[in-house]
Amino acid sequence: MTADKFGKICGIAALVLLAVGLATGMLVAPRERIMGDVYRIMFVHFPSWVGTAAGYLTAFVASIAYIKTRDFKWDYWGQAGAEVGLLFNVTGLITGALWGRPTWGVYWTWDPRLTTTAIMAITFAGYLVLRAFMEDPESRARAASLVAIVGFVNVPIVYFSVRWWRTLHQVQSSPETVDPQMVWPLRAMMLAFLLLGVFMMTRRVMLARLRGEEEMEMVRLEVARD
Amino acid sequence: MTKTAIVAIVVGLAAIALVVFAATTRDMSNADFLIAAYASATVILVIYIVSLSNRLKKAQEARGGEG
Repeated sequence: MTADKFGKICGIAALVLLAVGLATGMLVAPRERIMGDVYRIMFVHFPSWVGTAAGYLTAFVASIAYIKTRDFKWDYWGQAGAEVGLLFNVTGLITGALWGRPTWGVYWTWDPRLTTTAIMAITFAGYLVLRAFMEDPESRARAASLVAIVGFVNVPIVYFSVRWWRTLHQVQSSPETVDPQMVWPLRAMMLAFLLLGVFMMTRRVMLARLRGEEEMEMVRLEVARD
Repeated sequence: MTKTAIVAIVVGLAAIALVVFAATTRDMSNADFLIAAYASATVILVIYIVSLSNRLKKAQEARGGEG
């Protein structure tokens, strides 16, 4: 199966799961005792972090593979993972702020979870800026891979931050502590965002490959002219 | 506009419509924040998918044109 076809299947599966997850999350899941209905932001907020983790993990693994093999295929996956991860990261930050205002009273606070998440977004935004400013494909891929590897160190820190520093942000919930009618929409949305992320990454890799091939041809032409 | 972009826009609008419908007809608390969160997430994802599919189509056409 080609990456294109695999991506399309993931995209279609994501659409079905999004429809199921959103409909059940909004219409079937009960109101939360303390937060009321605003907790339903959870069905888009938490899945955003699943997409973020999938994107950054892809960038991390692909960057290690690039450093080891120097095969540009891995660089294409690296940039796709970083871009899609950042997209979901920003989505998570915005939906989190909109959830924070009615529950905490503020859109933003320098809580360790929020701060480490913002640092993670800035790091991977830096990765994309670095790529945009470097012309030589090999040095760009090498430098970007190093940034992705170092940047990924923050991902487990973000995850454990709510346990290490108990401040405003709650610790992770588990299915045992949540109403089953809330768990299934959440699982459907998490899987939907994961598949949506895979769909976007396969498309982004295809684009990166086309641009990479074009860039290589330009370099070959310039070398031949010299 | 690619087929993927059209599907993304239609699905995005349907998702926002569903949230607005649920929040208003069921008289949900903090409906404005709920709608804002879903709408912002949808807009971000739809804009990216539309942009990505258009960039991909252009790149494929450019490569195909050279051949």
